[in-house]
Amino acid sequence: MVQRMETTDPFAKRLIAHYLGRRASDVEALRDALGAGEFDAIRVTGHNMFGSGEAYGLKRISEIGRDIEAAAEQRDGTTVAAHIDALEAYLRELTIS
Amino acid sequence: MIDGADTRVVTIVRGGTGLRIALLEDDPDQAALVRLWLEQADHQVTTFAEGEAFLKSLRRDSFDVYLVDWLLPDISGVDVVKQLRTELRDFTPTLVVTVKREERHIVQALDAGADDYLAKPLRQGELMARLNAVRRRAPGGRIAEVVADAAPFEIDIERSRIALFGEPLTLTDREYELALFFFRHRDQALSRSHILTTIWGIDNDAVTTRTVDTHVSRLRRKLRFGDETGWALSAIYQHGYRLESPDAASGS
Repeated sequence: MVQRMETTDPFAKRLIAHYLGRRASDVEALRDALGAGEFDAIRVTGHNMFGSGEAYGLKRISEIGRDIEAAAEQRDGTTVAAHIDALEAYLRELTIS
Repeated sequence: MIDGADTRVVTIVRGGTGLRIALLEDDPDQAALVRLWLEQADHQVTTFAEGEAFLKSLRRDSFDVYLVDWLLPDISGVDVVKQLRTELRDFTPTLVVTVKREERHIVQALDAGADDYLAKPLRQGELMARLNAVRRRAPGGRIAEVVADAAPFEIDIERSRIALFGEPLTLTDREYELALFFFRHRDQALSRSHILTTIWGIDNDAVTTRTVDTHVSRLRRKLRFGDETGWALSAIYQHGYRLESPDAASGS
């Protein structure tokens, strides 16, 4: 299902686009970190996603961030990987207008 | 500027319309968004990504409000607040922001000296409301108290006039604004930059910090700060000025 996000402020639109671009980079960085067993780095990334996602109007990113942080604290690589997949799928479905 | 937390950026603002806010936030995404919200509300924002850099900046600068994230890469936001209150004796209104939501964390932040506490993810309306609330509660925010506690000066807000020992003083509009600004921030160190942006607006190229010094000097003379009034307007080396109320000036 395609998720839509609407804003009329051009600067806010650029800011959100930039934010989403950084989350797309996070997907790769998280997978690299998972491969290296760097759970602390994963936890921090999840923590920041939780703190910022909903503020940008992207509640789902906060939810995924919270789940990534919790799984990283448990050093549960399988669950972390599943949440990274969920993040990637969500970003793919999202459009800004 | 998107990556707001990575650099210090001074924004051009209209003089006196908003607050000067120091935003201490290491997550660039969070910092960029909060900065956007605050600037849309006509506030001026300076962003810091590390606690030590923020504390160091206070040697030369001052702000109306601090917005401090709890989790920072070098020291915790709560330790920043503790240093502000105990070591620097800086009581600028401070909001702590964090994802920590347990009661013990809220108590810890408030006990450290924070004026309020905001949970992440932040919500724009709530942030603005809490900002306005701490502003109202701050000493300079209660204008009636500022006016009532200025003896031997009498400040007439309605008519933008100041009298001393019952005699009206002849002040320009700018001098009046500057005097009121000092009275509202009594006993607080104010940087030249803070004064400049609030009273003049930094988009005025003709104004330099030297202009601040000249106006302060004139104000000192016209308002007869010193033994006669009990109020002292002190220069702070490489920083700015502080208007000391009679109690503070006498050391009591």
